[in-house]
Amino acid sequence: MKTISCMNISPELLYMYGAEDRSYNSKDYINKEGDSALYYYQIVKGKVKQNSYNEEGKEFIHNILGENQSFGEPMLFVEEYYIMNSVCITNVDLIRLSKSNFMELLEKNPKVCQEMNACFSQRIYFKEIMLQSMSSQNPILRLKGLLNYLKSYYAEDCEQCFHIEFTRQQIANLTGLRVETVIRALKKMEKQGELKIDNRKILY
Amino acid sequence: MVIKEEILHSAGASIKYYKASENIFREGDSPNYYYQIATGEAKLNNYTDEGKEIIQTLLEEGQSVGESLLFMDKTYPVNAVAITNCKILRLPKSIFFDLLRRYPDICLDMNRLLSQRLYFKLIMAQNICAQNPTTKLIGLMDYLKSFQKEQSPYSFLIPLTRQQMASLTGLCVETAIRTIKVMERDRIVKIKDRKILY
Repeated sequence: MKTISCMNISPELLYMYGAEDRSYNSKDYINKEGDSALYYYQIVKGKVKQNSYNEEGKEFIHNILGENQSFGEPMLFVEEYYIMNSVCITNVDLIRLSKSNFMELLEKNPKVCQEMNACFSQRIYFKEIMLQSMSSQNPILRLKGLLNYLKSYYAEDCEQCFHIEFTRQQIANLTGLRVETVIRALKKMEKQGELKIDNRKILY
Repeated sequence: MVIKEEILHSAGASIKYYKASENIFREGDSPNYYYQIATGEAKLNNYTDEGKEIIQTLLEEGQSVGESLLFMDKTYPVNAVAITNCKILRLPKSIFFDLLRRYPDICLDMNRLLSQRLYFKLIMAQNICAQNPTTKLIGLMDYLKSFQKEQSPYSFLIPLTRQQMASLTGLCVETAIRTIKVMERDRIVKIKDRKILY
């Protein structure tokens, strides 16, 4: 599977358009569900989790993003409120650029605009595949749909080296499966050689 | 409309006609063209391992079909199927990329369109994991209604069949029908001549 880390705009270009550095502590919210989208964000250091809660209060983690990855851009174009929170899970340094300056950057840099298209396309592609697998009754197919989607955000191409940083409960919430089913299906996948479990850590 | 039809014509787009239920492209095909619907409706779909249809996107006049794959080095993960008879403008991939380079506005419009698609996917991904069929259907209806100005209750006529609502949310059609009836009783929706008002 070929993967790209996106968006990764050069910091020099971002600063040229007036970007600023921001630092957050672990557990800080960068933005919350229901906020308006005002900035383009690109992570320099640390990890950010995107989540929301369903009506029963279960956490739904959309993704965990790291260095040189951006988040929340779709909302800059769609003009809707954020449908998820962005929460720091480590201390985080990031660069942020105001929406209007980001739009100007895209307008004046056709290459970046084109990369943005490729980046969105990549995300749509893996979401489509994930939605297809998630509609299956087969728990292993559902899990694979999720794991492939998460791995598509990972820059390196490798076999069974991508650490799934989710608990079994979180995976259950994401796939609509019961936690017991997740545990059983993961063990079965390990037996079939599709992933490794090392000290409870899942490597895919 | 994604790209003005005059621009597509002057760039040399050809006109293709498809009958209802005919494939525009199939899962596994290589993406070689940009498609834009001049008239008619289409859908992107695929099937689960049990043969259940999953509708990924519903498309209407002025919208492009499967454009995101042109930016990637992959085959289509979905089928594109005409729902009604369709007239479609088709442009070879290389000319499409020339257009994006020549017109920065079109490139930005494409950013906007892909964002919209991704936004829908994010909502649907959240939705498909919900256990409760009512939650799934309300998620879909909220999304559809968010595009109209009028937000008062029952002011939105759901433009989908029950089968389509089921296929968009991963439900069986029987479950969708039953759930919609319960939602009527709970006054979440009104039903008039089988049409759903939300």
